[in-house]
Amino acid sequence: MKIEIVKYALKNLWLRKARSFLTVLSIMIGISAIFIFASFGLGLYKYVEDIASESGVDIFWVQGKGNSAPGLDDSFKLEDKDLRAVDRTNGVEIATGMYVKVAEVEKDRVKRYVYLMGYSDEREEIKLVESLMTVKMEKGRQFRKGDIGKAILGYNYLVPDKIFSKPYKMGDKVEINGRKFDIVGFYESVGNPGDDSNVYLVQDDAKALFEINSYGMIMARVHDKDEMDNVVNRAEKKLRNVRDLEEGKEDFSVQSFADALETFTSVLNIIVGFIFLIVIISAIVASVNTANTMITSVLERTREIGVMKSIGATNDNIKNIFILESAVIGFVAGFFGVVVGWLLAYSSGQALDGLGWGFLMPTFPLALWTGCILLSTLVGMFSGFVPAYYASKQKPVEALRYE
Amino acid sequence: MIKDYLIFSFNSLKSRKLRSWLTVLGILIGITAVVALIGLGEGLKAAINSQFGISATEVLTVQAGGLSAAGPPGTGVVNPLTQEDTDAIMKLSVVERAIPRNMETGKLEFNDNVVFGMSIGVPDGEDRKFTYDALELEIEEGRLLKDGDTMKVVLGNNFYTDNVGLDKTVMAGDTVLIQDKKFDVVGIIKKKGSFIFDNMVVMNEDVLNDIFEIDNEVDIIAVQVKDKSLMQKGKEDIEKLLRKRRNVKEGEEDFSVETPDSAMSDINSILTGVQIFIAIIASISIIVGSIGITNTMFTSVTERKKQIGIMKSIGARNSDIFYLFSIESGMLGMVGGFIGTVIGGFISFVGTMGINIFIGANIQPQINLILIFGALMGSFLIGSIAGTVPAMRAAELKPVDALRQ
Repeated sequence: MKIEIVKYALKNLWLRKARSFLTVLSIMIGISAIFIFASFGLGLYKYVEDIASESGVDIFWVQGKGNSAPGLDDSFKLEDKDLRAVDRTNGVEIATGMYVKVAEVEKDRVKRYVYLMGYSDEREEIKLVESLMTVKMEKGRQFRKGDIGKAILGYNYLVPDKIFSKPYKMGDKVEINGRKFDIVGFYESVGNPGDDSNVYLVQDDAKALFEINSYGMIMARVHDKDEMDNVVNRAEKKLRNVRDLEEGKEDFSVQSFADALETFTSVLNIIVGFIFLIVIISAIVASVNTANTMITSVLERTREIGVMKSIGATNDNIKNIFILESAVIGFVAGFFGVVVGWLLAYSSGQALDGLGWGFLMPTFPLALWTGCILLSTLVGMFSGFVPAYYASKQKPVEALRYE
Repeated sequence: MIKDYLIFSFNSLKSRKLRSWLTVLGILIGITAVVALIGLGEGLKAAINSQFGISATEVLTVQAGGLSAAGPPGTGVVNPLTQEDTDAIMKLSVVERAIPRNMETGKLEFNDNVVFGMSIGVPDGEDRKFTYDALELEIEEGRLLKDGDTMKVVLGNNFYTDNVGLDKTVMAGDTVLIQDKKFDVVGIIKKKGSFIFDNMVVMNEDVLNDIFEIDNEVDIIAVQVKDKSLMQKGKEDIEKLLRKRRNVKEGEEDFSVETPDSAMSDINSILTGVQIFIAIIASISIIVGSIGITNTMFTSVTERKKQIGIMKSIGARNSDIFYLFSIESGMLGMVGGFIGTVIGGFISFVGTMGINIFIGANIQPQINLILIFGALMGSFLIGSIAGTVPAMRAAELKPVDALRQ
């Protein structure tokens, strides 16, 4: 009996090819869209997770209060005494300060304004900065002690037509605020155009170039990451002491990597949720279409239903036939939907990478594939439910009389 | 003749009520989403633009080159403008006045609480009145600043209604600590609906320069030209002057002279991009809805083969049949579009009110006639296009075959 029902349902779908195809197409578009945005959304979550696990969970940083991009506002200065306070906080393994400024880089008479970071030339401190910035060397070497007059550039300086039409190469000189520096290395791509355009100098050079004595940021690594909250509290207290401020009136903020990730994740949740909500609308429209198709199908086959019932088909049999039909529509649509969605998501991910937005990478875990197909099948079944119920309740005599 | 088409199409839709409504529902949902989201986007754009409160259209702004995305004017600048630049600009023949303006992040203490925000300086003399006018600063309580007011400030409206986090409202006559120095509050500015201005601290320029230790640097120079028609010339003259002063060649400027429109164009183009992206995603549901129309029309043609046969045998031409079905599907689209526009418009209206309450702005909900008209025509078109293939199939039926069904 079961197999007969399946055969019958499939045969009916095949008989109404055009209509079945269009219904499948409409669900398929919705599922593709869901698949694409879900894969990008999951990719972003994975990006955040990777950063969290790779580096940084044991890092916190201090900034002065301000209204502009991190590190640039110097109304409330962070000075060497503040760095010493952080460094001497119980539980802090190492601390370092970084200058942050906007610099003018000039090549072949084209000027670009980019962020410049000036950081220490001590091995351990370099390690700390690099893990906070999540950068690794692509080419060349890190700064060494006493590396005056040397610069490291972000990845985009290696790529033609990104920042300058002609890229830099190792050994070139780069002109920053009118002074020339030897390029000793390039950092790997971080995957966003902002950070990949940064230039890096050692502290002394940055200090001389901008005549500054206020750090844009002080960062520190703790001995034990489980102790993070306590260490942050202690550092805040020490900073209040050296800056002579009461609690609640801090003109600086201390943030741990985990806090920042949490903030980022909650913003991400809102954006992904909002886009998903819009995408879901198309799935709703598709399910309305499917319901429509199934109702038409039931009406057309009223007589057939009457015949089946009069030779002994139960209400359940009839209901199952129609639910099965719409479930098959949903399943087929889901199958093609994920395939099309994967093609589009994968190729646009590649395209975005080429444009320098490498952190926007879709991921395709197994659960995404099965989830989308399952969702599609359920949408189909759900849409078929009312028409199927209606069909099953037909009185045989009236159904046979129907024209 | 057209009337006959319409009546006939309408009747045939009516006779299949449930199916027609479900088809309409599909396209309706899609149109609702797109209209609502575009409307909300417009509201949001207006909200963001109003935050900058630049209304004087005859003012040119001069800024040094830098990363403009880094924060308020003057933050991401490499080689800042100076007081001397301002004086030089002032001497140009087309220039009526040139006003240096600085903004600083500061700390304000009151009622044993501390908040951080922006302070701006106001110049003395004639320029003072011009600045108040250009920024549309009016007083809610107390008075505006006048020349010679040292250690006196005027505060934005949010201090008055306590939206800044001091746990107590500040009134004219109160004393506040700014950068640990005592200031008398002499007035409160009328609500501007902009979080920048409503949270702003206004003090006299020399006082600002003094407490923030600004020597000679200038974040932004606001320039008024002698006559509106001289805007372009003023821009060119200033550029020429600054090129010379800063020793750069044409095309290599490390500064910018902007008209008020161009100042906002960056942020607006980003917002428009986001809006288009969201509209495209929402449009997917319209596509899905239009497939629903095609489907319904196919079914309709199949069901009415016999009818088509009869019509053809009593003299209906292919084009007549084609129009009948096209109009029918166009109607499906348009009814969906109409109801969708109404619901979507309503949602964006309510949403804009929500934005107003949330950020304290005063934006008129935009009734965008082009959007409404576009949505209606678009939905009729989508309906007709979706019905084209089914209508063609109906038109090409042979009368004999159709009757034999």
